[in-house]
Amino acid sequence: MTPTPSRPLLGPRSSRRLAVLLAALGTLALGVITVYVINALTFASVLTEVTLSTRVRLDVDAGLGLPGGFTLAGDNLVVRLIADDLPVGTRLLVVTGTLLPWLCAGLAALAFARVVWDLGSENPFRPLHARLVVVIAVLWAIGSWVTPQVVRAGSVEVLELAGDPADLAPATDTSSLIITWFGLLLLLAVAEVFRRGARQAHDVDGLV
Amino acid sequence: MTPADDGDRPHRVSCHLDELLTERGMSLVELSHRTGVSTVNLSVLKNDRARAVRFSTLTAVCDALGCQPGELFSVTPG
Repeated sequence: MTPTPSRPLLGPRSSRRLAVLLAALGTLALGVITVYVINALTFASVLTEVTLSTRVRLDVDAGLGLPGGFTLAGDNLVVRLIADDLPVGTRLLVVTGTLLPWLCAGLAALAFARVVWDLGSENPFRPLHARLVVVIAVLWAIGSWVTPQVVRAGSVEVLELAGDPADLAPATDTSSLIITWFGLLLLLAVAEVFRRGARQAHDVDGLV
Repeated sequence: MTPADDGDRPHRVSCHLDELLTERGMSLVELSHRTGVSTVNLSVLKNDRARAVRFSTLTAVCDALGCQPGELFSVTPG
């Protein structure tokens, strides 16, 4: 019995259009990052994340004068601190925390664009694609887990330079090992699918 | 004609489709019509660039040419 061919989600044209869009977004992200870094090195002030102490938080609650039955929720309120005249190293550290996820996303978009370009072709399973998906997995791990550590390190350094104000604490670590590992394993599984697919494609190459 | 490599291990299988077609006065296009196998695939087979052959392809070609697989292929001495 001949199996009915199913219509693919991405045909040759749509996969190439999507790839061009991804490549454009990736290139745009890298361009914006370059401009941002140049600005950070040119201008003295940067924005870093810090958290308000519980005392300030309670003062905010009192100052708001909310009617009965309404209460603000959440502690470690995150605010952004504008810091002027910082050393270049500190500025770069703070800016890296802001830009790292975008850098990872931009590079991942470029790598994914290369994979998507061939998805609608006759031979989407190639060893290169497996390697590119592994690269995307590594970029995901850096973007999701390393970034909060860098943000926190930048925040600690800025607060040290500011003389450690009593009511401000460094940014909290928002990284989630569960989300990082889940995404990483998912992407590595996709890479394995491409690797095995490439091996099978090699096996049937020349089959008549 | 040099037998094709399979990428990992070389083989010494030669296909005699060209001779069988000549003997029967049949063209590749006609064989393609009779077997339902594309001319591209038959050309790959004829020029020893195939690395594997489906039994269904082999059956169709042998039926159309009135031959046995042994007449279609031979293994050249190493």
